[in-house]
Amino acid sequence: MNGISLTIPSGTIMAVVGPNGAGKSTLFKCLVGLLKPLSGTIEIMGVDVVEHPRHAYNKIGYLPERAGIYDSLTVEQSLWYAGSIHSMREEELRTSIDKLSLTFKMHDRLQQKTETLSKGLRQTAAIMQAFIHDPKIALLDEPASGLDPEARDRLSRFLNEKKNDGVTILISSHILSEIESYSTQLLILKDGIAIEEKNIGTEHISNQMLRLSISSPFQNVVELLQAHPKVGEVAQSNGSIDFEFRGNEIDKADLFQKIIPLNKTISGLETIQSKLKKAYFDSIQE
Amino acid sequence: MKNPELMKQLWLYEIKIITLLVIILFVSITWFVSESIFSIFITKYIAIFGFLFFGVITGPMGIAAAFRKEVGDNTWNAQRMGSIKPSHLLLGKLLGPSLTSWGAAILCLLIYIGNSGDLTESLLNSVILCLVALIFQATSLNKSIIQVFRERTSNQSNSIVFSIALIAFLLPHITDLLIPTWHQLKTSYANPVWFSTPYRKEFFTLSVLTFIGAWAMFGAYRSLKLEIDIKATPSAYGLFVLSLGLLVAGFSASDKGFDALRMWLSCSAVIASAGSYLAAISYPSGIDQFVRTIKYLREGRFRRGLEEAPLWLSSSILAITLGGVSAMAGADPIFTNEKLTNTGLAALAISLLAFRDVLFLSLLQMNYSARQSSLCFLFFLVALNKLIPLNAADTYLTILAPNVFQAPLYACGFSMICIGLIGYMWHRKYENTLKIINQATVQQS
Repeated sequence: MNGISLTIPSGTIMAVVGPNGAGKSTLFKCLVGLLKPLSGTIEIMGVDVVEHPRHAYNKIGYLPERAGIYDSLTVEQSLWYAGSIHSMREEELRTSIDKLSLTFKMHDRLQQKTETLSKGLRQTAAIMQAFIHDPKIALLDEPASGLDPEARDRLSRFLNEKKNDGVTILISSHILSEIESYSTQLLILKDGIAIEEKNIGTEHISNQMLRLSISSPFQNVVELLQAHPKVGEVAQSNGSIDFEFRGNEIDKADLFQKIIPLNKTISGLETIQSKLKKAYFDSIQE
Repeated sequence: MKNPELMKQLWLYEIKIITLLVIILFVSITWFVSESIFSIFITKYIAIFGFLFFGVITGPMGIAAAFRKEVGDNTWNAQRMGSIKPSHLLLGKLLGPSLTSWGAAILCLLIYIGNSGDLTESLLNSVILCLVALIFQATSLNKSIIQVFRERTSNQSNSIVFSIALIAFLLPHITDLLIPTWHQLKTSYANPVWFSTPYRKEFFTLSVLTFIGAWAMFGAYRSLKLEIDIKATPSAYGLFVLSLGLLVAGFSASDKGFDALRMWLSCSAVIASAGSYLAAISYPSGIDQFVRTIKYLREGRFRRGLEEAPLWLSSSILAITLGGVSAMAGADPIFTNEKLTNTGLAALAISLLAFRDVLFLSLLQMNYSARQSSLCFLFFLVALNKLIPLNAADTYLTILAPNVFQAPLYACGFSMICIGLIGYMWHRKYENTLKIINQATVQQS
C-alpha cells in the first residue's frame, strides 16, 4: 500500500471498495495494528496505533473477512470471552450480550454451539463479537457475507444507529448496493493506493443513471431532459430513456413533476446504476 | 479476578469420554499387572512410562495443536487485539489443552508413589517428573508461537526443531564447547560438582530442572507478550544468557576466582552466539524492522530502538561484548590435556563468526525468498563447517574456515574482514531497497 492519507470524521460510515487485491483487507489490518506500515502514522482517537496498538484496541471493533469463531463454544460463551478479553466487567457484559442478542434476534440461540449454526448465523455471532465491547470505531470486512435479506436489513439498521451514536464505521464490501444504504463516505482503492475519497451522503447524491419507461412517442421528453441543467448524457431506446442525473432527491422530484404533464404514459422511473456503483466504476476506469 | 483464557480453554477442552476410557483402560491394565504376575518394580516403571507418555508426549502435543487451531480458525487475531494479560494467556494456553493429560499423568504418579518403597525418594522423583513435563509443555507452546510468527512474517513453515538440530550439527565449534559428551554427562550426573563444590545428585537435578523450567515458562510468556504487541527490550534475554552461562561454566571452572569469572563470560558469549543463530532462524527480520530500529536510534529513542531491533542483532552484540571482555581478561589461550581451558579469545572468535553468519543470512533474506535464503544459508554453513574442514589438510582452504580453538586470533581477524564485506553489501542493499520504496511512494502519491 502506498500514499494513503485520509481523515475519517467520527459518526460516519466509510465504504472501502476496490477490485480484488486492491488492499482493502491490508488497509484494515494496518488500521487495527495487526500489520505495521513501513512508514507513516495511523491515529485512532488520538492514539498512535503503530506505536501503542494496545492503547487503541479497546476502542476498536474488528470483523475480519474470515471471522474467527470458536466452534465448540456456545454463542453466549463466545460473546463472554470476546468481551472479557477487552476487560469488560461481568454486569457490563451481561447488558451488552442481552442488547446485541435482541438487536440481532439471537436471544434464542445464545445457548447453541456455534458449530451448529448456519453460515449466516455464525456471521451474525461474529458481528456481535466485534461490537460486544461497544467500540468507538468498527472495521468490518464483508460484514453482510452469508446474511439473509432480513439479517442484512437488521445489520443496516444497527449500523445506522451506531453511526447516529457517534461510532465511526469502515466497511469493506463487494456488494455496492448493500453498503449504499448506510455509507456516508466512499474510499476507492486500486493496486494499494487510494484513487478516490468522496462524500456520498444522501444530501450529496450525484451522478445517478436513471431510466424513464414510456409507452408513447417521447421526443418532447428527450428535449426537456437535454435542456435540463442537472441532466447529463441522454440515450434513447425502445420505450425508455436512460439519462445521467446530477442532483438530490428534491431535484429528482422536481424533474419528474415537469415530465408528467408532457407525457401521460410514463410507467416508471428507476435508478439503473446506483450512485456508489457509478462513482466506483468512474473512478476505477479513470 | 477471573482468567478468561483459562475459562475458555476449560470450556473448549472438557474431558472427552474417549480420553476417560483410555485412562480407565490404562489404570485397569496397571492394576492387573501389579496384582498378578509382575512385580511392584515393573508396575513402578509402567507408571513412570505412563506419566512420561501423558506429560511429555500428549500434553505438549495438545498444547501445540490447540494453539495452531486458534491461529488456523482465525481466533488468535482477536486475542492479539484484546487487553488480556499475557500471564492469563500463558496459564490458559498451558493448562487448558493439557488438563486431560495432566489428569492421566497424575494418576500414573499416584500409582508410582503407591508402588514405591521409599516415600521421600518417590515424592522427589515425582517433582522432578512434573518439572520435566512442564519444561516440555512450555517449550511446545513457545515453539508453536514462534512458528506462527515465522509463518506470518516470512511464510516459512519448516520446522524450528529440525532447523535447530541442523544448525547444531553444522556448528561443531559451538556444540563441542557447550554440550557435554555422554560420558561427561554420566559422570557429572553421578557426582555433580559445580564451581568445585560437590552437590547431592537429587538436589542438583531438582535445582537445574527448576532453573530450566522457570526459563522455559518465561520464554513462552515472553513470546506471548511479543505476539500481543507488548514491546520489551532484550534485557531478559541478556539475563537468560548470563544465567545459562553461569550454569554451564560451573561444570568446567576449576575454582571460584578469576578463572571462574572468565569461564562464565566465555560460556555466556558462546551461548549468546548460539542464541544469535536461533534468533535469526526463529525471528526472520524484514526491512521494515530495520527501518523502524534505525529511525528510533536516529531520533535518540534508544529504548524503542532496542525493542524494535531484531533479536539476532542484540544477541550478536551481546556475544561480541562478552567475548571481547572475556578475551581481554583471559590473555592467551591455555591448553590442558588438549582441552582449551581459557576460552576467552575462542569465545570472541565464535561470537564474531556467528555475527558474520547471521548478517549473511539477513542479507540473503533481503535478496531472496524465505525458502531460497534458508537453502543458501544451509549450503553456506555446510561448505564452511563440513566440506572445507574435510579437505582442509591438503589445501589452502583452511584460510576460509579457521579453527577457533587452534587459531583464535586469525579467526577473529578473518571474521572481522568478512563482517566488513557483508556489512557493506547489506548497507547497499538496505539503501537501494529504501530508495525504491520511497520512489514508488512519491510516484503513487
